[in-house]
Amino acid sequence: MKILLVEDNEMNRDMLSRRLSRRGYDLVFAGDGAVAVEMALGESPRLILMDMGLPVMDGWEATRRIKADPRTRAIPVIALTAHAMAADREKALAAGCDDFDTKPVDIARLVAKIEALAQSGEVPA
Amino acid sequence: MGTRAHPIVRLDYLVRVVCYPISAMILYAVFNRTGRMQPALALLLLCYGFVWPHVAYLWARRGRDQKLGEQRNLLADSVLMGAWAAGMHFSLWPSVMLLSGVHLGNLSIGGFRLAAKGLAGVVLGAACVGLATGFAINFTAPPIPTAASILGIFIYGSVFSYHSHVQSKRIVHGRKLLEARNLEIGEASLQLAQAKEEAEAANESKSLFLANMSHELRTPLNAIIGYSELLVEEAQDAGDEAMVPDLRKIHTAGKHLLGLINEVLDLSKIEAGKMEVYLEAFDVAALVEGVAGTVEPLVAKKGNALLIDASDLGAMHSDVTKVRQMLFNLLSNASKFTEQGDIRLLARRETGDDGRDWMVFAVEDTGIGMTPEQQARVFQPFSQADASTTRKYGGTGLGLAITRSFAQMLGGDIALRSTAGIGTTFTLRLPVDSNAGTAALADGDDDHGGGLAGELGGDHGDRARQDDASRGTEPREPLVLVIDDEPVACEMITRMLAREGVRCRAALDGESGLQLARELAPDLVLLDVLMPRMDGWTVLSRLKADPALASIPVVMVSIAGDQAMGSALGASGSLAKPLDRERLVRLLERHLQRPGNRSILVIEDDPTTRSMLRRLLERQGWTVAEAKNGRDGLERMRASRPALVLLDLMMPEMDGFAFLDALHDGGDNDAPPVVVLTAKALTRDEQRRLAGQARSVIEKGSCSQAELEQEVRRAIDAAADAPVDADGNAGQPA
Repeated sequence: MKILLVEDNEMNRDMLSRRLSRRGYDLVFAGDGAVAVEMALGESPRLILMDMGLPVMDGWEATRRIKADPRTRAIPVIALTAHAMAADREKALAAGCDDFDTKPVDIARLVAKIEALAQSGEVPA
Repeated sequence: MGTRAHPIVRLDYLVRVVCYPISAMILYAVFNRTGRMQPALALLLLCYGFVWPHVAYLWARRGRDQKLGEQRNLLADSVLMGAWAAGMHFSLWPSVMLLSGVHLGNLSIGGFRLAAKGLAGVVLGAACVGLATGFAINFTAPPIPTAASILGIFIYGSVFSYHSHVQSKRIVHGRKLLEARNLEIGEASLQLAQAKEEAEAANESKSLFLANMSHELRTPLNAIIGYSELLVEEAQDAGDEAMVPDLRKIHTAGKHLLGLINEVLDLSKIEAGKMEVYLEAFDVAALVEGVAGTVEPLVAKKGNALLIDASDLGAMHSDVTKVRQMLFNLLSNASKFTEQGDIRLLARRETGDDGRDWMVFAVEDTGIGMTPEQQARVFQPFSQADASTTRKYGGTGLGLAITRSFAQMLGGDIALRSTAGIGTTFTLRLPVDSNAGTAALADGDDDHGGGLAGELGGDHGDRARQDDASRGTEPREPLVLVIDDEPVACEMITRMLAREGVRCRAALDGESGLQLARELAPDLVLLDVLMPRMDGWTVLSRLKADPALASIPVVMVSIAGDQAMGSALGASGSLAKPLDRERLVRLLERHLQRPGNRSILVIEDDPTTRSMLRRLLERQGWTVAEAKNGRDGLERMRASRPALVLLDLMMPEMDGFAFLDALHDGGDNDAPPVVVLTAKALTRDEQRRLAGQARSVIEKGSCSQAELEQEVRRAIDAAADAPVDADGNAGQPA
C-alpha cells in the first residue's frame, strides 16, 4: 500500500518511514506542501500523512488543494502535528483532513488509523 | 514641670523679660517727674518689672494646659496695664505704649476673643486704681519717658511686623514644598503604573517565549523518542536482546522529559491566556477506564492497588483532553506519594444546589499526606509541597497547578483534604455541561476565576440578532463600557468620550465589568488586556460566551496589542495604549453607528468552509445567510438583500464569475459589495473580469481571520458611506 509522507524534517521522515516500511507499507516523500499537491496527483497514493508546519505551502493549504481537486479528493489525509491542541485538530479537520494525530507518533495508534482510513478509502467518496 | 514650655509661653516670657523692666523704668520716670514717687510704689514697680515675668512663666508652665495658663497671664497683664495707666493719670504716650503692647499681645495669641477680654481687664484695672486716684487725668508726660515710650511702640510694632513677615514667608515656602512633593508623588505613581504594565507585559512575553521554546524542545525530543523506539524494534528483529533494556531506558527517559516539557508548555499557555477549551460530548466511564489503563503501571510500580468506582455516570459535555489530563495528574500524583497502599478513584454524578449537574471525581490515597502549610502551597505553580519533595519524588510541581487551572476553565474547581501520614483526597468538581456552566458563571453567581475560551454553542448568533433588533427600536445616546483596572485610564477615556457626546461607564475589574455589561447592555466595550485577577482575554471570552452579550462589539485596549488573539476570541478591534484620541473616535464612529443591514450572504460550495465563515462572522454580530452556488445565491438575494456578499469562485452549477455577471447584468444598480474569497490563483484575464465587479479579492488560506473580518467591515462601511455608482460598485478598497 502506497503512502505519501509529507514531512520537511528529515529525522522525522526517516524515523517514520523506517517504522512504516517495516510494517510493509510502501512510502513516497514530499518535503513541502506544493510538492505534496503534485505528488498526490502524480503518485496516486492510497493515503497521505501530512505534517502541518511545512515550507512553501503549509499542510492546511496543501490539504485544502488536494481536497479541492476532484482527482485527489478521495485520498484520505491524516494530519500530523506537534501541537497537541484541540484548535489544531479542529483546524486540520476544517482544512479537509480525514483524521489527526500528534507527534511524537504512537506507531500502533497511527497504524490503526491508517488501516481504518485505507479501508474506508476503498469506497468512492 | 518635666514637660517643655509651650512655645507661646516661651515667647511671652522673652517679651516680658525684655519689655517689662524697660516699661517699669519708664513708669518710674513718669512717677518721679510728677513727684508722686513713694517707696511702696517703687517696690511695686520692681516687682512688676523684675519679678512678675518669671512668676508668670512658672505659673503658665504649671497648669495642665500651658496655653490656657498663658492666656490667664495675659489677662492679668491687661488688668495691670489698665491699673498703671490710671495710676499715671493716663499720661498719654506711656499709656498708649502699655495698652497697645498688651492689646497686640492678646490679639496675636488669643485672637479677638482674648483681645476683648483683655480690654475688659484693662478697664477693670483702670477702674480699680481710678477709684483711688479719683480718675485724675493728666495727659502730659515728661520728655524722656515720652520719647522712650514712642521708641518702645516703634520697636515693639516693628518686631511684630517682622515676625509676621517671617511666618508668612515660611507658609509660602511650605506650600511650595508641598506642591513639589505632590508633583513628585504624582510622577512616581505614574512611573509605578508604567513599571507595572511593563512588568505585566514582560511576564506575558515570558510566557509566550516559554510556549514557543517548549515547542522547539519537543522537536529534537521527538527524534530521541522515535529513534529509540525504532531501535528497540530493530534490535529485537536482529536478535540483539542485550541492547533492548538500554534502548528502553533512553525511550523512557525521553518520554519522561517530554511529560515535563508538556507541563511547562501547558502552564505557560495558561499564563499567556492562550490555552483553549474544546468542548465535546464523551462517555465518562470510558474515559475513566482509559485513564486507569494508562496510570496502572505507575500505580503498580510502588506496590499500590488501584480501586475504581465509576459506574452509571453517563456522558458529559466538556474538554475530554483536559479532563483526562486532570485525572491522570491526580492519579499519578497519588501514586507518587503512596507506597504499598490503596489509591481510589470515585466518580459520581450529583445535582448541585443551583440545579446544575456536576461530575465529581475523588482521588483518595493512603500516602504520606500533607501538613496544612504544605496544603496551602500545593496548587501554586513551581512549588511542590516542600522543596525536598522534588529531590525525593521528582516532577515539576506543575501538575496540580495545571489541574486547578483546567478545572476553573471548565467552570469547576478542585478541593483537597489531607492528613500528614494518613493520606490525601483531591476532589475535582466539573459541570456535566461546561456550556451551561459558563452561562451560569456569566450570571455572576460564582467566584471561580476561570473563564472559558474557544468555541461555545451554536445558537449565540441567533439570540444576538434578536437582541440587536430589539435594541435598535429605541434610539438613545450611545453608551460605552470601559473595563480597566486603572482609575486614571478610565477617567481619561471617559473624558475623551464625553467630548464626543458619548456616555461612558467604567468598571475597575473584570467581574464588575461583566456585571455592568449585563445591566447596561452597552453599545461598545473597551476592554483592558492586562488586569489583575481576571485578565482581558478571560473577560472577552465570557462576554462572547454569554448569549445576551455576544453581539456587543468589544475593543481590546493594551500596551501590547495582540490583534490576532483578540480576533480569535471575538474582539472587534484593538487599540494601543496610550490611547490616541483620533483612533478612538474613528473606532467609535465605526461601532456606534452601525449600518442597519447586518446580513452577509456567503456563497461557497464547501460546507466546511461555509460553516467556518458563518461562525466567524456571527461572532462579529453579523447575520449570515448561506448559498451553495451562484444560482442558489441569486435566489437568496431575491428573498432578502444582504449588506455584503462573500463569494467563492470555483463552484458547481454557477460559478463566481457567472454569478457576478448575472448580478450586474440584471441592471441592479444598488447591488451589495462583493468580496471574492478564492483558493484559485487568478489569471490576468480573470483579475480583469473581477476588477469591475468585485470590491476585493482575498486568497483563502493566505488571509488571517482578522484580515477577513477587517475587509468585511471596510467593505460594508464603504458601501454605507459612498453613494453607489452606476456600475453598482461601492467605492474602491481603502
